[in-house]
Amino acid sequence: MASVAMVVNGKSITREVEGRTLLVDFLRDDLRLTGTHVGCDTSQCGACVVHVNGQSVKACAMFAIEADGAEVATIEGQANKDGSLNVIQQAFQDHHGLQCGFCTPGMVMTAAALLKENPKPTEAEVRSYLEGNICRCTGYHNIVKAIMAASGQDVTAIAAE
Amino acid sequence: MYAFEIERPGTIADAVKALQSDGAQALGGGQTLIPTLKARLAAPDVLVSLSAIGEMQGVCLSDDGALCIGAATTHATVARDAAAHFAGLAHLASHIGDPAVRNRGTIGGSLANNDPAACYPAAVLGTGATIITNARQIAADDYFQGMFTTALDEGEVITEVRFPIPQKSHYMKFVQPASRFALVGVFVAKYADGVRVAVTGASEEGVFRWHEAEAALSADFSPKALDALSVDADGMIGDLHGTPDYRAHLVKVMTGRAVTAAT
Amino acid sequence: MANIRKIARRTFLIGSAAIAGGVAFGVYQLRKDAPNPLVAGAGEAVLTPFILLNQDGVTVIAPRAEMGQGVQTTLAALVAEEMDVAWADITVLHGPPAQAYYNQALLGIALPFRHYADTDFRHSLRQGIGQIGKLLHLQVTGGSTSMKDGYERMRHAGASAREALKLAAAAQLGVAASDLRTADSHVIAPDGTRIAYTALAEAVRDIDLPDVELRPRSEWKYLGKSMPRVDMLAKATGTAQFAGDVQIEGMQFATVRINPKRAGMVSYDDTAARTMDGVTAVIDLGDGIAVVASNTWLAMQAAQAVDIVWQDAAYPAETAGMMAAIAAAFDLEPNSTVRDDGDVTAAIEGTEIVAEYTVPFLAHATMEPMNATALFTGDRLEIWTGNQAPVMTRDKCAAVAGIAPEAVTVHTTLMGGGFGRRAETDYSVQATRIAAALPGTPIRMTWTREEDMRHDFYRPAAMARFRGVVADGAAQLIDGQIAAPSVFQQSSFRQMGQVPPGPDRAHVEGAADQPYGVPNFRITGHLADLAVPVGFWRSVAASFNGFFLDTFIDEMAHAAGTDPLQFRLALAEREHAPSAGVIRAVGEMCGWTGRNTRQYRARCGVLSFLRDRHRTGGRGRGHRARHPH
Repeated sequence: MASVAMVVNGKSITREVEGRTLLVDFLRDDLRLTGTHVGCDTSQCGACVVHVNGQSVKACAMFAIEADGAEVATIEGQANKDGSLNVIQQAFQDHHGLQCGFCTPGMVMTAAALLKENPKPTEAEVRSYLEGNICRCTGYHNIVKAIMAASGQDVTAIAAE
Repeated sequence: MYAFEIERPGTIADAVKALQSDGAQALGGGQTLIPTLKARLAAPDVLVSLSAIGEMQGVCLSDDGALCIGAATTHATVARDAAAHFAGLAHLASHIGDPAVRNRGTIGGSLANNDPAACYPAAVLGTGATIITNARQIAADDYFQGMFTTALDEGEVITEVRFPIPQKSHYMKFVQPASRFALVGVFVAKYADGVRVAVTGASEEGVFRWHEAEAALSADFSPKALDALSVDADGMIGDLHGTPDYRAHLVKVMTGRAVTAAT
Repeated sequence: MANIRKIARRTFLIGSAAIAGGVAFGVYQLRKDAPNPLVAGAGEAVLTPFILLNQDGVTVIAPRAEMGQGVQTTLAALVAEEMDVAWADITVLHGPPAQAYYNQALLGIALPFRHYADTDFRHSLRQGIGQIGKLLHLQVTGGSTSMKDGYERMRHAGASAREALKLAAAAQLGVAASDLRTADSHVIAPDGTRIAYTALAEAVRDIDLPDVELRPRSEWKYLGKSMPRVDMLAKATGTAQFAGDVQIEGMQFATVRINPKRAGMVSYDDTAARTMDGVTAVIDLGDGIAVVASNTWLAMQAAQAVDIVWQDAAYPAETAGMMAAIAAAFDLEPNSTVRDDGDVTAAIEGTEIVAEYTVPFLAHATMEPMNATALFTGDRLEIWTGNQAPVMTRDKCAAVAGIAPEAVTVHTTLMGGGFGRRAETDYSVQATRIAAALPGTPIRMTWTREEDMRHDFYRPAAMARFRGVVADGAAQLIDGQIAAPSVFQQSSFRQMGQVPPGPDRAHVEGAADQPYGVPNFRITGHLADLAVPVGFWRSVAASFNGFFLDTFIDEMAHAAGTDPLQFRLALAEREHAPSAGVIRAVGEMCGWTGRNTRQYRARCGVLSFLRDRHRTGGRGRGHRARHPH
């Protein structure tokens, strides 16, 4: 067992973990932040994307211990301080960017990383950035549309919802 | 996963020391190693994480004009910081895996693993880069020794990679869409004294140089120079994604495209 | 807030004995309203099986499960429309397993008619057949039937509740109910006095629910408009609860490794697994093993460490053998000849085209791996499972736990994808068996993705043979044979223990029911005798039949030298004007310029027809075209 300390969604936490504990299991089982999902567990599906020091990572392909000293952000910390949806979450709502919702936390976290890097992405750039996030329901279209809308761009030309 | 402990040394010296213990294995970004551990294809007693070693991070230019990349530098950092100096390499790094993988995966990890379909080996062999370890310097031509096999000794750690910057270069990858590895990837680099061409994803022997194309492109750096050439399908990988013939064909096509796109 | 444990204090067991014996059903039983499984607590009113009112607000009890299709939003909107509930005041819960939530629309889709040409007679017949669903406790989310089933039922529930609330308010205010109106979760008196529904919860308890006419479409406020999903907030903020998010103190973690050949075990050796630190138990499930451990990963690794010798499959070991078994069905008498227009055996002048098509087995691959959490306490079972069939889940879990169905509480959670896969009960039953072996220990069972791929109930592999004749630029003849294992027969046997007689219409849907007017047009369905498990899948047989038929139509258009869209338009105009309108509209929407394949691929996608009334619930509505991206 080893001690890890990190700041998760703005809150400092310290826990004892086994060396092989993955960050995603640490978040879900130890911290009970079950919004971060495990779809494939082989870093294919992206349902487990969180931010570590501001960068998107797949929490199923990183050990908790490697986040020692880091700032970790998960879907649970994405809403605005007053509890209202942030601009990306709101855009997912406005443009029907989710169905079953299982991939959504990873999609929102990936979108947040994209818009930080590239505040006005093209549709092609959005699609390319989502390469590591699988959705089985939507066909991606409304997710792409929601992210474009969240970046403040006009999405009326992008086909129907 | 089997049970194991993780150490996070802060210096190369400490990492080398930690790797001397029985059953110790280096952990780069873990984007390949962690899935491998989950599949129980590896069973280390101790994992030595290289992610906290500051002296293995970052991109810089050396006095002799080479681009030096710390072995623990992530693909995302290379994509960003190499762009102004070596566009072909930055382009390669920006198309490995997906954004989240690029934020974790490292150049040293990729080279130590030497997956036959990984991207970085093509750039390293295609530029004749030098692999620097805690013990020595290894020329790219000596480093790659068949799929998943390298010149590294037990406990030896890659600390840095030095790329001679070409006049023109490009990497062209035919993506296997499920894994985003290269079905075939070709790195072409043009230097004052000739052209190098390295191919990944295609051969059962791992990354290799296509010497006929190098000679032809050294004489005439244009896709037309490849017209008379063909690649032997013998020894090419055949799987559900593509036959050996298909891969052999792709080698030539991707080489031509890389030449066309080289800047 | 209401929760299922609180409101589902009683359940009823009716009819299952009769069904097991295959006995005919008494008419009186069909007409009797299914008992309401909800019980009002103090200060609560249960207004139909679908509405619970208390001081906190209105809770709609959805008879169908949410797996992304948005059905709980739409079912709630149907209630809210008639009940005049403010949208923000609504909470939606999935209902407990109960006959009241049977799906009357589900069985009706199996009848051998072309749904685009529904007559009143056929519609009535289908509804009559659907009554069997009530007796079978067919509480199933599937077959694209939720809206057809709930379209009137949920609105009737809302309307009755509204009128009952007016009666309660009328008694309080001393005015006639007919003088009252309702809006925004309030009853409003002529003088402007407003009484919140929540304040009437106590008073409305004892009022008999009146029967009322539904409002005309022209008065709708919610229906037909884009509504915010009720599950959106939780899903976008990570607080939505899937079955794998359930946390119980003392929980142990399990996984299974079942014979990928769907047979038993010859032997197994779990010595290595049992010695692994943290492994609690290795359980013999007959057709495989389960491992229980202190965390999921350890369970999965220990399951891999068990050395198992599997028995062989009851079907060919390799794909070629399976496809040969499917091809052999072409030589059998057809199970169905749902379409037989003109005479396909007649000698027709023109260019003859033949084609054979083959598609593989496909797994559902839901994003959320198969999982369920179960707690067995000796005489009761509580199970949390994302599932599309709560009654069957309850009954099958009760059977393996050796307890009565009413001793089982099923929590139907949100699903990270269902697509028909979660209409099966295998994973819930496995979790129950593991929990039953360890009474008092909550068990969360999670499959590996490998297990998911090996143990799906696949979209069947299928083959088609088509022969066609074109002359004068148009189709003169299509004779198609479709061979595959029958999803309907296999699932019926799995879920109900019997195979319904008669032709399997679902087997040929997407081919036999297409609105193409070809003078000589026959589609025969051939059921292959192949024991590879198959099950319902998004669009089911239309997923391959649409490909077979419309690819063949393209071949015919090509042979005829005719534009493929014009070719189809001509066929549809002969058969069904609304469908022709759809083709024309899609052509306009995508800027169809003729034989420009680049444009076709880029912007037109695949044109597919969906069954009209069944998909939309609206009788007499035209076809809907799907325009995938």
